[in-house]
Amino acid sequence: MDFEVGPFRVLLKTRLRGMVAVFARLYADFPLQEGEGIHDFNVELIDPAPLRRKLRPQSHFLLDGQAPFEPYPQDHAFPLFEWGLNYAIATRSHSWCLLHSAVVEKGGRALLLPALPGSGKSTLCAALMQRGWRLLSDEFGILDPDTGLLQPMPRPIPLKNHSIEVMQNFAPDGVFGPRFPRTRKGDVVHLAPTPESVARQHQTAQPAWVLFPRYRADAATRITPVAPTQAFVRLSNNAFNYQLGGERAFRALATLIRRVSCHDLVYGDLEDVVARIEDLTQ
Amino acid sequence: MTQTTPGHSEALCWRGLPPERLLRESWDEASLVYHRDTGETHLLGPLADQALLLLQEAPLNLDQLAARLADLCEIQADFQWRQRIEALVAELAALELVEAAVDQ
Repeated sequence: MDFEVGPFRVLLKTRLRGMVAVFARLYADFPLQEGEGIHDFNVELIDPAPLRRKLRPQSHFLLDGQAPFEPYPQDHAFPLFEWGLNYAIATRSHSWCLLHSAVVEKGGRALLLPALPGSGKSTLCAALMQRGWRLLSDEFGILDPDTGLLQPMPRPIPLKNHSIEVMQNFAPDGVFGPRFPRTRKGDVVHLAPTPESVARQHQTAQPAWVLFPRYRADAATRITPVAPTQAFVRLSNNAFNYQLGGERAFRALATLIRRVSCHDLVYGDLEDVVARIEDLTQ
Repeated sequence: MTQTTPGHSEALCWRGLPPERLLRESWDEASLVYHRDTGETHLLGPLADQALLLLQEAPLNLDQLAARLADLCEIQADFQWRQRIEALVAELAALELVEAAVDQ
């Protein structure tokens, strides 16, 4: 499969049973590319030891022919592909400032949901997407240091454990992939990006808000301002390549912070928090 | 031998790194400073930020710096205040944002 996801062109080769079907479902809206071109990432998913296939089938993630990870069980090939592609992007895409953050957009203005442990960013991001926000990314805030704009890279959102049922109840019309039980991150189900998110995957967005989410079971929604400098420190500490970016990253992040309003967000109810975010971002 | 520990000498002066070696972004509550030589980013509270600005204007010894900052804060420059400023300068020196200067 040869496809573009945001600014990246990916060539994926695999013969693993099941992988192609899952890919076809979750990447259904991504146009396949044809012809010559330079691929940012050449990925193969293979069975490293065909002779043991019947005993304990495995999948190996190869990036430009190299295997950065230990093999996974073969029925976890799709999550391995997704995590492997994240690894490739995080370690190679240093012309951008890569924030560890989900990003959604409405009306040309982007909302960042940075990832901190226990943040529940994927669930919240998925909920916003299902209520009409455009998904830019569930994992990467791809900030162009020259323009200050955020670059989309919409891909399937990995929902984990409890949030799987939460999202399936919240958005029964969503396109969900199969359940991958007992991965290294627990049970995982992917939610496909909405067709609009994929169709507009080359349209950048202006950062407007940063919400640092924190999920607390049964908590009432609470939104409180965060000082810009504190927001800067949190975003830079949590970015994939801030140190590598040097002055360029400092300037880019400072510019972003000056353009956005920053808040802490505690939430325990998806319907309520989505409504509050709509109010905040009017 | 250059003294780098604050308080070793009453006459020891400190100076801030030249402004061109730093990138500064200031907000009401604090400033962020990017150190071009070390590649580190530092969050400076108002007092540390003001101390750095004063030491970039001209070298000062601890007594002079404590007095200038006390004036700006409209407080008495007593012994405890001087100790606080001494500790602050030590932190700025550890971050390579200020350095010992030739005696005035």
